[in-house]
Amino acid sequence: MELHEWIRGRTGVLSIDADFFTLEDERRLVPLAEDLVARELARDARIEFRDEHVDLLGLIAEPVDFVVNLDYHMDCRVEFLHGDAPRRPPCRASLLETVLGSRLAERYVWAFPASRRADAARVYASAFFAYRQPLLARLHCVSGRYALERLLDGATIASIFVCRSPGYATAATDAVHDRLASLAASDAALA
Amino acid sequence: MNVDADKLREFAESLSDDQTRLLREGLAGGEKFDHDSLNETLKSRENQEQFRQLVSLRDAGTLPDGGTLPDGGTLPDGGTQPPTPPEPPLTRW
Repeated sequence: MELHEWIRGRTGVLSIDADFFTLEDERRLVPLAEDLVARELARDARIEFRDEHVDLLGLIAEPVDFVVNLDYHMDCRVEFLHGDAPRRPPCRASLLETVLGSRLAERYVWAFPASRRADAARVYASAFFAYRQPLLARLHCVSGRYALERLLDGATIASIFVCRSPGYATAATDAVHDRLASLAASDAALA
Repeated sequence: MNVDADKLREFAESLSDDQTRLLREGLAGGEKFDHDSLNETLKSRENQEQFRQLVSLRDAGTLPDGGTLPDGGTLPDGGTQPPTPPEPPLTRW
């Protein structure tokens, strides 16, 4: 089963952590992200801006099919992938754990920066062979480019969540955050 | 590790294509399962460093509840972070 086939026709949340755009490779994807956000706003997706990523949990009022999270971090602990019970905020590294552990989403998709592909694969493989985390089957790790270009075609994005993550903010990530905020403001002015 | 091979195979067969690809990449074995590559994966410098950090924090009594990795925001000494780091740390999975 290909993930983009599973996701087609389903409804979920798109999360964008500005720190996803820390490196130059991902900053080249900003136009794709803007196009996607503009398209979904035109389809009446709701958009929220917050500083902290854990605030995403307050946005998910009821369980959704998926959460796609463009993020520099997977937002979980290695111990969780190796079988620990999920933790909840205020632990900052617990977003994925909370989303999956509380069944807020059927599947969680971490859309990672290109530079983290090997790290993601190694950790996923080690967790697979540890075989102590049943929620691992509902976790997906795909490249950010794939998520922006293809994955969400045919899906319904009910909500878009953008966070600044001040602890990891740089001038470049703040610039991306501000561009998305301007886009949302323009859309709201047109409405 | 002592894992039931049949259960592991069943788990592998339940994975989606993207998960299977990621697993293969992690094993660095491509299409063919490679035990040696897996062994190297588990002994990788990155994994060793992660586990060393976890052990040292536990030994120091800073993670009484099996808490977060070093940059996960729970350092008891208020560990300082630069206001605008050039790149996020790798360890907050």
